[in-house]
Amino acid sequence: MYHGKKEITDEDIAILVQQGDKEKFGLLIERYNDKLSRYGRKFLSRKENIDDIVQDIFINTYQSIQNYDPSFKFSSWIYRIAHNAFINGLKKQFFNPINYFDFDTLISHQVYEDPEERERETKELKKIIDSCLDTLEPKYKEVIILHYIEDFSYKEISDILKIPTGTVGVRIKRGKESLKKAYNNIEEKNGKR
Amino acid sequence: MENDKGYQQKEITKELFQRIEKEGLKQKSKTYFKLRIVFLVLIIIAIFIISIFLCSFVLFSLRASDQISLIGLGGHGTVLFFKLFPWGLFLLNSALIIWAGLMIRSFRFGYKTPILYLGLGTVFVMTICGVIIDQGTSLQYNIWHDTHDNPIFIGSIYEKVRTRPDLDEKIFRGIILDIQQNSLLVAIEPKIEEDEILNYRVVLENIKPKTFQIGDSIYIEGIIINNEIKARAIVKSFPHPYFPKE
Repeated sequence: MYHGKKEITDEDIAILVQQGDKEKFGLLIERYNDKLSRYGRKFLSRKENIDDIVQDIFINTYQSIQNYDPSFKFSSWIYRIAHNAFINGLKKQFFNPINYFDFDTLISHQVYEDPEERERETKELKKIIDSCLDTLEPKYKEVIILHYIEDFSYKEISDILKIPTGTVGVRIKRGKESLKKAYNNIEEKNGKR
Repeated sequence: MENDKGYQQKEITKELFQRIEKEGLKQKSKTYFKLRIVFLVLIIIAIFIISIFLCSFVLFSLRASDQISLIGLGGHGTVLFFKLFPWGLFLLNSALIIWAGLMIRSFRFGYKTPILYLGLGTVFVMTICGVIIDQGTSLQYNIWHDTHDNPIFIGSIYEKVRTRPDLDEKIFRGIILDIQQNSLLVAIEPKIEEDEILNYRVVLENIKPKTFQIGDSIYIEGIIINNEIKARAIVKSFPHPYFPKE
């Protein structure tokens, strides 16, 4: 029989904070600080001011915690807040980084998510992602980060980005194709030298 | 290394709590978020009501004078149909539908549904409701009737309902009073109620008068020469049943 102490979940911590145990919010900061910083660094392709943005995300999370519905995953909810903050950060870098109207969200797309395939691909894509991620358009870049680096499922990404699950699948597929293309171009250039 | 990491994390947490304390930041209450949702839902409902009303008005204004029949007169009639179509309200309604769609996307079922399906679904629901109001109730006719003499605010959009085409358009709307061998006697509708009803003899060129009956509402394409209309094409029109025949 297993007597080990079961780790308290993010959702339970969020409930405690909602009930007034503000100190527990510190646990959420400890759990998510590195993850959100990594997400921001990869997505915005810069290191400066990431800590400030992440701090603002936590402040926003703290102020909005009563809006969190514990029947959903806390990670998806906080990443949604982070997504909005990083999009604002991106807007300061470029004009109209993600189009308001996206044809990918127009119709439904049939997608099938295979966890085994993801695991295999994550290893395979690791090197490619590291070297070519910045060549991607923000909309493809973000889903690749969330799926292969932050480990979210299509359904969770759909809740974070507020787009249909099918659209997530299509963006991941196109993102992967673009990454491989960019990687092959680099390889070719290196080979010619 | 692990200790350093732990120390850093604690410092970040401490800094954040200090900021919360210093800036006096508080959690927004559950009621605040609930009220925000209620407000959003109320706005969506209001947009839906306005949009359904406008949709039924557009259908009513088309049926009031059966403008769709103008298309039966060929190119000239089709151009006039598009000229008389209430584009302003149609575009306003489209903007409202898009706005409602964007607001619905704040909800889970909204963003989980592809935009095309959501848009088509919204348009379909609003059109069906508009058709039901237009065909199943006398709401639009009653408003038109009540605001006819007093076109303030909402009544102003009803001003052009039932307005016949300008005579310069060379398309006339009227009621058949008499049928002769190759001509019809037609009462051309006045532009406004105070105008005198003008009776014209409509000379038919290659059109069989047998297809018409006395009392039919018709659109005539032709030109006025010596108080006679030389008709090139005529189509029957079927105005809104609520409107009495003039």
